[in-house]
Amino acid sequence: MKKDIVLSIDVVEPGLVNAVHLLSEELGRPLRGIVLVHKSFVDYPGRPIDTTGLFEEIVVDFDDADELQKTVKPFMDQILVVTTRYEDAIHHFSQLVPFVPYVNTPTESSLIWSTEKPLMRDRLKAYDERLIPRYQSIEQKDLVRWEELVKDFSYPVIVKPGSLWSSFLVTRCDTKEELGECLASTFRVIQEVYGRLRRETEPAVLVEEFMIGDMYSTDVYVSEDGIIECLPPVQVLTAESVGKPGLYGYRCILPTALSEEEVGRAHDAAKASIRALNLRATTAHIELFHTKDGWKIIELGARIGGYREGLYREAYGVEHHYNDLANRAGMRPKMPSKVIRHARAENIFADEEGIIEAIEGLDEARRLESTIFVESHVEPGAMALSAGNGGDLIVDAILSNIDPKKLEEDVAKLRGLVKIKVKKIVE
Amino acid sequence: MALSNAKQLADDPTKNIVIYINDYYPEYGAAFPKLAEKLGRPLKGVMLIDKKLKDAGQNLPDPTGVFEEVVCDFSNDGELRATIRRFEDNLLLVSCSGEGSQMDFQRVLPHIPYVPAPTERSLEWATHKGKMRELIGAYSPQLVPKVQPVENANEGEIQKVLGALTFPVMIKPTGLSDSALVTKAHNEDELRVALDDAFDALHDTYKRNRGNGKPGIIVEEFMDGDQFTIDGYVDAVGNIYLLPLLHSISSNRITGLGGFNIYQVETHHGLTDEEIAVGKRASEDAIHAIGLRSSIAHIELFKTADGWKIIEIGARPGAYRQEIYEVSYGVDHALNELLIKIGLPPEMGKGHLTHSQLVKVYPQTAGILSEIEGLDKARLHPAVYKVTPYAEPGDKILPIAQGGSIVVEGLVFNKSIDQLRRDATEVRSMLKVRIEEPKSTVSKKERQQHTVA
Repeated sequence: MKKDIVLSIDVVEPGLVNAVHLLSEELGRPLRGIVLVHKSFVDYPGRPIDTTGLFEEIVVDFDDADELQKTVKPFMDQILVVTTRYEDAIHHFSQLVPFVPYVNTPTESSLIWSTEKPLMRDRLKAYDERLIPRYQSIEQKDLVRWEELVKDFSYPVIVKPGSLWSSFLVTRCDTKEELGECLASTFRVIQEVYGRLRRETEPAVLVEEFMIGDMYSTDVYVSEDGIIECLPPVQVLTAESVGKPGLYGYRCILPTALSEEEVGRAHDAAKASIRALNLRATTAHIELFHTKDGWKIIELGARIGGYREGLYREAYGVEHHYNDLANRAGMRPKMPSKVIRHARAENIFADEEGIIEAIEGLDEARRLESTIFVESHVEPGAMALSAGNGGDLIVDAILSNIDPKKLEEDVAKLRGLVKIKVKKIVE
Repeated sequence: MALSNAKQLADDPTKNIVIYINDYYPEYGAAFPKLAEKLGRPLKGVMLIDKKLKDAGQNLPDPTGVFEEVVCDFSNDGELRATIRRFEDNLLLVSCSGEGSQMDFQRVLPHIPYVPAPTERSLEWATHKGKMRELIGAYSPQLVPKVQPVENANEGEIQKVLGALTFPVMIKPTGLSDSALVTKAHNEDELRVALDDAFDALHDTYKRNRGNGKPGIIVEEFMDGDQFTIDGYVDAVGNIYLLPLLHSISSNRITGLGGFNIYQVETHHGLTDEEIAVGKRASEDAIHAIGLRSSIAHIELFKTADGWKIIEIGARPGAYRQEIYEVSYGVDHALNELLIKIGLPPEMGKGHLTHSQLVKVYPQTAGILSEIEGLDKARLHPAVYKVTPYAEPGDKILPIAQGGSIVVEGLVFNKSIDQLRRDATEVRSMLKVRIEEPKSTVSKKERQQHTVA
């Protein structure tokens, strides 16, 4: 039977639709899409859906093995590729794996390891403990003895929720007292954040020693038989590194100024992290710190990184979504040869917390020469919270230019133009 | 697991390590040099053994010294990862043919992503009768009888069974093989007694027989019909190769005996080509229903008035199938399992060579084994291919209904089906299991027999 189905889980972004067309062209035969959406994810705010008609949407309860099997059975022999772009969907992917045994997929366990930070750290540590800082996983029940659990830690430390992505609730603590307060406050809100983000695991936080250095990421393709091909590193500036509160990714920069030798070392660390988790037949997004002690792994996910599709297309002409599909289908990805433009991704949170009254300057920002896109993700009237308090991103953008100086100017202009007006809540 | 590239492993000269999990079986030992010869390069064998099993003396070690023994704690992912890392760059295949080791194999799977292997869940489903039925039922409802899992013998659970099923029913443990603790109930009173007895013996039997997963019991509607088995192979992309069907007869079909353990298995079955084709389609559906891949498979079926039904499926060879398929069809079952795991087609033999019958002997009473009489005499019988005892004098013995196991079995062959049956009867009459009253509670190893018909 002809394998002509690209199966996505929970979401379909425009980049995936475009990639299906590119893969269809490459293979010389028509392809179609099916997206399986978990029943509780259907109404997820802002869930990307296909508006072109290429993807048929099927709602299913991923927790019901019988229903999942019955749903997949009619087309299981026609599936060419299974993919997903969202971290939230990885758990559902692991539930689907046993029902698509004749399609290239990662193992069920490796997908779980890639989403649960404590398990991920355990795997990385067992493979090569130099890859990660000292860490301790803490659950609600451990709060009574948290001091004992981290008594040997050096401060500052970073507190991270166990299975949240981006920088939700990520907090830096410089002292033991700050850590105690942070753990208490994190566990006060973590249930609500897990519920809002459809997390189905028991909340846990990870406390790890703070790494001093520069943050980077790289996206890689792991073939079904373990060949790893790495895309160039992206430099990530955190809000804290540019003097703003929070640890969220403030800016992504591509290409970087890293030497070829340093890029090689970063890629070696990234490859080691893939091997530590035993990932296969997947794209992976790996975040790293470049420290004086070498490259350290912050975390990795079995998916394309956020903004990486746009960044790699602008800077290197790479069709990241196409490569994701091609690699999962057992074909070689098309790797970049040279830099064609300089690119930035910008994340904008509100400077102050409160009710959003207006988001200004978006149209002017869109008219800048370097702008690829500028998008607002919330409406006036919504609550603006800091990322450290579980708040969502408000505006994001990708810009690119052949001229790096012009790009810098436009980025500065965009930051000046986009204003998030917030009305503070008086208690 | 490399799907489309599975065969690259066979062609890659750097891939030369074969890992067997926990137990060494002679047929797999014999298949190892044959595989090396077929690939045209020397191979290195490794027995990867769970420390707990090794410490308890429950694994079957390699007596030949060909395989390097590597012991690690399978419950520790870090230790398992570090151990496998020593071999991973040269790993050709990993095989696990023991029913009792399937959950250990499952723990190894995420650490061997670049060699073809089953999914983790499929092994769980292949060893848990309840989940297996659920999955097969969801895939193709007509292939399984109505089933009800029960957690204990309390009133609530009894009522669930009464509400869902029609008598007679079968009571079966979920993760045990060899028909251990399998009983039939014709009415509510018998059901209550059978569930009480089964739950009483459940945990001890799981421990003794190395049951898979959490001990549990299912009750299912009784299927009336003829019992068959079939072994086969499924490759990385779902192509299935099935060997010929075999006819099984359980003890309850033999006058004067009881129990649902298999009394004999015979190559002669009298099925029409059409019936064979339908039975094979049901077997293929069972393999796909639990999503098995890159594996050997053993399937037990009933041919009923309502069509073929699946009793169960395992990701392992059936008992003595190596010998049955070898003598009757010229097939090397163990070698084929190794071939399917590296993307090479199995060698399916050259058709029917001779009839054969597997003679299985179980204890009828509990006690201490004093002697298996007639072993040497049976081995000298011209129609006997092989005889294997599974217990030694001094071993504590239980009947199958109390969670016991087979004591001795042997394969008889002949080109004439009538002569075969006469020979089989003669051989069976030679093999006598002598049992004394129990004097000791110490049980010696009971698990040489790794698979079940």
